[in-house]
Amino acid sequence: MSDDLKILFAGTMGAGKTTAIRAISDIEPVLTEQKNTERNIVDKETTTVALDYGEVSLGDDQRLLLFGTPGQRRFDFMWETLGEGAIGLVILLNDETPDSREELLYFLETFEVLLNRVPTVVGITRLQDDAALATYQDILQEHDRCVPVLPADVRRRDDVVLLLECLLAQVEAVTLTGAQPNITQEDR
Amino acid sequence: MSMNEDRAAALRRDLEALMESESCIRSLLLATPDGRCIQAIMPEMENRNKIAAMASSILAVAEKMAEFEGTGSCRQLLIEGTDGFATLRRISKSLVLVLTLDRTGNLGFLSHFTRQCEKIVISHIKAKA
Repeated sequence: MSDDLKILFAGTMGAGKTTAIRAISDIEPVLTEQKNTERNIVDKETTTVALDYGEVSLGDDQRLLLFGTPGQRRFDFMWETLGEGAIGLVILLNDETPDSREELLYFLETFEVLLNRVPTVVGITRLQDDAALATYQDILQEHDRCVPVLPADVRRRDDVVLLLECLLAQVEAVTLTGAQPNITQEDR
Repeated sequence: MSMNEDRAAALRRDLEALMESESCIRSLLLATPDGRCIQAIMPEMENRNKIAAMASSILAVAEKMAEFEGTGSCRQLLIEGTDGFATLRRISKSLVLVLTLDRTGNLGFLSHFTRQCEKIVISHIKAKA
């Protein structure tokens, strides 16, 4: 049986999912980028239309398999498929996007099944100021979610490593205690 | 009506004429490479945006797989279902064509109509240029 661990990167278009996987993957990542025809929404040349895939070696023949989703909602049929078998979820949000907090709510609802099953970490990219982090944490608390929220410059490998270390620490804790992931203490 | 709308209407008329010429063609859809529907002639129009996105995803994966398997550039993807056939084909790098036939058609028809559609679309792209 494979010891590989599957991690899903989800989040809004332009949040940095492809960049994060590219920054950390030990192999040349498999990307499915196509020309972005919605530059009025997010000004970038290309966008992921199916998945991103990368690998990180953990030693002892164990690997992290990194799967990135397309960000646009029209690709939501890919999200559930790509989430199958995942042991952790990374949600990336771009703080420069005006509706990034509403997007967090949307992802909490859309990924509810996965959130109830696997540890999660939220990464905030292009953070405007540190105080903004608290607003994301407030939203999570209001929805009885206990999920770490970290600022991340996903172009930097170290920042992506930090997100994954935080996620894997939770995975280990959940495995050891058998607790349900991502819920506040009072709900346990 | 703007020129773009005129052109879109002209393209649609030509594609509709092709569909009317053969009853086995079930639906026809053109999408952008990033999965937005720009033209659809199909019975269940409410599905057009989802099919456009799916076509973009599937074709992108097929192209990547062809690259990894050493079969070169993926020209076309064929789907054989119990109730018909579908083909996905990239046209001049800027469009994705999805054509479906019912079971009265066959792979020969599919190939023929795909080429016909491609010719029509390319002629309109050239006219625009």
